[in-house]
Amino acid sequence: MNKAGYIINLVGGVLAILFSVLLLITGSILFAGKDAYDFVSDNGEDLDEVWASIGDYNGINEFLTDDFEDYIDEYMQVLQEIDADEFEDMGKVYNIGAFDELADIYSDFEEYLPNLWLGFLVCLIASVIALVGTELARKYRVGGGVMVFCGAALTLIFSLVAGSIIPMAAASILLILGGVLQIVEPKAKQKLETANESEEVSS
Amino acid sequence: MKRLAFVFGYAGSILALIFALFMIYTVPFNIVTDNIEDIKDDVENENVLAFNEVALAMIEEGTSDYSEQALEVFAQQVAQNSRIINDEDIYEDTVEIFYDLGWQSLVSMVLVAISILFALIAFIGALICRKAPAGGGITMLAAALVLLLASIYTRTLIPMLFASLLLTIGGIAVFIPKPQKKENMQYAGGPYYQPSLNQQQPYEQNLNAPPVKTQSVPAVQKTDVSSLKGSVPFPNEETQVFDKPDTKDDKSKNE
Repeated sequence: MNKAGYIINLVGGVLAILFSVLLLITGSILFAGKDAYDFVSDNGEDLDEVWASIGDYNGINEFLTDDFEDYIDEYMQVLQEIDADEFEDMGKVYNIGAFDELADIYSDFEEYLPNLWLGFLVCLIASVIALVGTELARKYRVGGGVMVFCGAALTLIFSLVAGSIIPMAAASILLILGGVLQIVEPKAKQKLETANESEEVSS
Repeated sequence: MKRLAFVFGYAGSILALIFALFMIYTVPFNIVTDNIEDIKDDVENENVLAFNEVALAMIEEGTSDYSEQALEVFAQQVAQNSRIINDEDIYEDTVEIFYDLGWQSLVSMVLVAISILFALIAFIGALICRKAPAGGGITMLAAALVLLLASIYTRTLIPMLFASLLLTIGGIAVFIPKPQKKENMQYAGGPYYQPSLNQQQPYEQNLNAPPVKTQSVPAVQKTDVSSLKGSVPFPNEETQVFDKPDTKDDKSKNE
């Protein structure tokens, strides 16, 4: 067993699990963070009007005119059911440009969401496979190393699918490096085997 | 049992790490949903106005003391200067509600960080239990307990319970002694090791085996006794083997 490869694989596996779980946050921020920031900076003054228009469009009474509990319940229900088409419609009704930007951001994020979930699940499973392969490589050098390589490749590919490759790349590189170290036969063992072979030939 | 402890500890620690990281999402979600329910039950329109006034006053004046008593005193001052609501109790109740919500949120997020840390500690404990079984076992048991308590407080018990169970089994398995085999039992005459079945087969002469080469033993060379100086002479075969020393009777007879 190569100790350096084993430790590198352990560190890489733990980092891979960490970045896999955080993929939901990092992927969302990298995909829609800039658009959300631009929306807030461009339409910051209109946000109160946007909020009131959403309530008016869905028949919710104004703030403090009705019971506070009802106000919260109705807005929560509206926000759970709203979609990009409603935003576009509200933009036409109230003639507020912010609704068109909201509709674009919402539709893009809805298309991106399945990729994010797929990347998250596969990266998590691949990270666990890599950690299991790290322990198996102590006894089955090649089999365990192949498992580590597969885990590293899957995390790299599906983090790219989820749009958050940079943090996962560090973990994948560690896993690949550790896998190489664990698969390659140690030099001392190679020398011993060649010495035994030469003795057999001479006798 | 070390191997069993390692397998359970390794699996449990990986699951604990995954579920502890999931708490980053589930705990804030629980906080928001629970807080919304509490706000709906306890907060009225007047409380919202009072909170708005207190928050604006804090931003303008910039308070540094966020203890509950300091906030209540601050709320009373805002109530005295308010032109909207003249009831001090509403301001005090508002501050108390939002202080409890904020404190609970802070404690929950600290527990999430502690859970992630102890999941890593459990992982290290599973790795060291092969070399240092007692230390690894105690580490896994302690981590399982902390994870369980943190998950109970943050109301994420069900997933973490399974991971804690695996860690507990791994931690306990380390301390279970390995059962002794019957072959190693000692008899009265001393240690007895029952030979395996292969060793118990009778010897069968292999007629086809090549003859065993033995090294020829050199013949013993006769040595010339007379040439040995200072050595004890060999006894004469015709006489007695050893000459007895003369006794008194013999001496008297000879005389």
